[in-house]
Amino acid sequence: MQCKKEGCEGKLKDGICQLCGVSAAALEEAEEYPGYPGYPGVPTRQSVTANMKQIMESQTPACKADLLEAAQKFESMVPDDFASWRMQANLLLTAIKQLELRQMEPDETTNLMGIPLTEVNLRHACEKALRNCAHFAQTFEDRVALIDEANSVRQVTWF
Amino acid sequence: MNRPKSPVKQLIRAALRDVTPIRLWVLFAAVGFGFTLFCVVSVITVRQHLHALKTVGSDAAPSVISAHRIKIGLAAMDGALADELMSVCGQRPARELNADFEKNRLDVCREIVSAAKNITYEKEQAPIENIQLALGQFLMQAQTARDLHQEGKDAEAVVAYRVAWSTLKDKILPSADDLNLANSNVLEETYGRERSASALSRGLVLVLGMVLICVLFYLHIYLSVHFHRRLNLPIIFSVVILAIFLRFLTSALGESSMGLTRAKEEAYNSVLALLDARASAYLADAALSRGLLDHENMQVNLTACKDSLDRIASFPDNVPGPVILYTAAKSLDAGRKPNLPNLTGALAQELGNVQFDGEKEGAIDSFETFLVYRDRCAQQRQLMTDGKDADALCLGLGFDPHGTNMAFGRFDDALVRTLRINNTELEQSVRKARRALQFLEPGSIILSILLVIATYLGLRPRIQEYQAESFLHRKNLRR
Repeated sequence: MQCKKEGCEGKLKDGICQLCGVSAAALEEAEEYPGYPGYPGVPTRQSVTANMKQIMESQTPACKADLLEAAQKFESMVPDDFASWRMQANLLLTAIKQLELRQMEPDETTNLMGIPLTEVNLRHACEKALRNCAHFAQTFEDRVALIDEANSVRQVTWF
Repeated sequence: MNRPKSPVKQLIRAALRDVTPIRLWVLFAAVGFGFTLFCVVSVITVRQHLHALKTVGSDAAPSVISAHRIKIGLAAMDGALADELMSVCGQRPARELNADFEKNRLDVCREIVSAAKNITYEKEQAPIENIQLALGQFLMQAQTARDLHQEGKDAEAVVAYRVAWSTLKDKILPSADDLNLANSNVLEETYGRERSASALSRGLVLVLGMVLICVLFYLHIYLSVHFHRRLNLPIIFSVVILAIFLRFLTSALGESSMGLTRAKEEAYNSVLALLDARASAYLADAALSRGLLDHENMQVNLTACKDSLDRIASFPDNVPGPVILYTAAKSLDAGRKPNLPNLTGALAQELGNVQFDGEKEGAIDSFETFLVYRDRCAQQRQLMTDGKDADALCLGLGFDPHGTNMAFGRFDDALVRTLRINNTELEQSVRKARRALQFLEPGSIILSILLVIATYLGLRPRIQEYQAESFLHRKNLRR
């Protein structure tokens, strides 16, 4: 199925355009509630998607500023579908990776989407994001894969 | 065109592809199956042990003992009757012998009832019926002989006695032997079979338990690695409880097995040897009395007496009895099994199987008193062969301190004392072995169910993570 967004020729998979990352439902909602305060709709999502693409596909690792910029854009967006949670999880995963590889220092005073920039907090938030993402998964296999990913990213605990 | 895949195929493919929730269910199924198998094998093993104990302690051994006691009672009745027919009617010895006959009759009747109440195997009923039927006949024939003796018709009394003896010899004693054989054969067979089978199933229980512990360990490691949670308390609980129960189960089964071996090898074999010795002693005593009473069949009876004595203990003429006694006592004092190649018979078996406190003294005393009794019998036989009937009668009847009756009494006392020690040990060993198995059967079932539930409780939260309706409400997402 073709994406309904103007000027986009991407194909939809699981209701999400593979080119622009906008979900069909979000487009419909944007048409229904144009300019609704607190509901940024398509333009915000496009911007976040572009940012994320840049971060994920860039040859050079993303710096703290890139992540914070993307996170700032996320803060104005209500994650209510698969793609939003996935993007949020990807952002957090990138941050965790940066911390693991020592490309970024942990900093409790800096917040990434309201989460202090420490590994424990990021892992917890990422696990939560992936579990929420699993809630929107279309197939059983996808859900299992997301929960497995959530468990693999979660902080090791005693119980 | 895509055909819809069947759910079973999907499930199998998912299981093979290591899809976590399916893998968790597969592991749970494996644990459940393992516990079911463990429970079944445990219950079967416990039942096998209980069956072997029941055979030795309740079914066969008491019947073997009853058969021997019937034989002993009958031989005592025969001896008392023969002695009574040689005594003067109305006098105290005759009255005492009559009372002795009556006492033994009551003992025999009680033992017949006891054997009948304990009929377990098909082959037991016919001998008991035969004993019961022929006993009435024997009692009537014995009374005829007694009446004729009281009327002063001693020659006719002896003829009547011969009829009574033939009933005893041809009908009752072989039936008592049949009853003994029916039970002792089953006992030996069951013991031999179930001893190896129970050892095998005990090993199987142990192996199954170990495998189950390994599976639970694997499950715990799998959960720990996949879910980043170090400990899963219900599964740790399952492993610990299973390990404790396995230890308890194998030690209880081992204890029961040891109890069974002790009951059979150490106590029952001694009881059997001592009962054989006692029955042979009574038969020898009765044969000696018959030899005195029935001159026509004297040689036959004296041979029967000698045969019976040989069944108790036999050794070559060139080896003196006291030497054997000394060798046996020395070995037993040193705590060794006596090496007596020259000695055969029931007492040789008993001397080779001395295990319990006081048994050594009893066995030595039995052999010592037997040697005395054997000498007195030989003395009396010699007198009878020489035609010195009055002297033989003096030695055989009454309570002359150097007579056969006194020697027989002392020998019988020693046998009874040793028998009592072994009988008590037999009962105690069986009771102890049974006590070790108490509650194991329901315990295995309850524990298996409990541990399957514990394993499920350990897996449930992890499985639920993959269910769309539950994971959003997970409490542990809170920090």
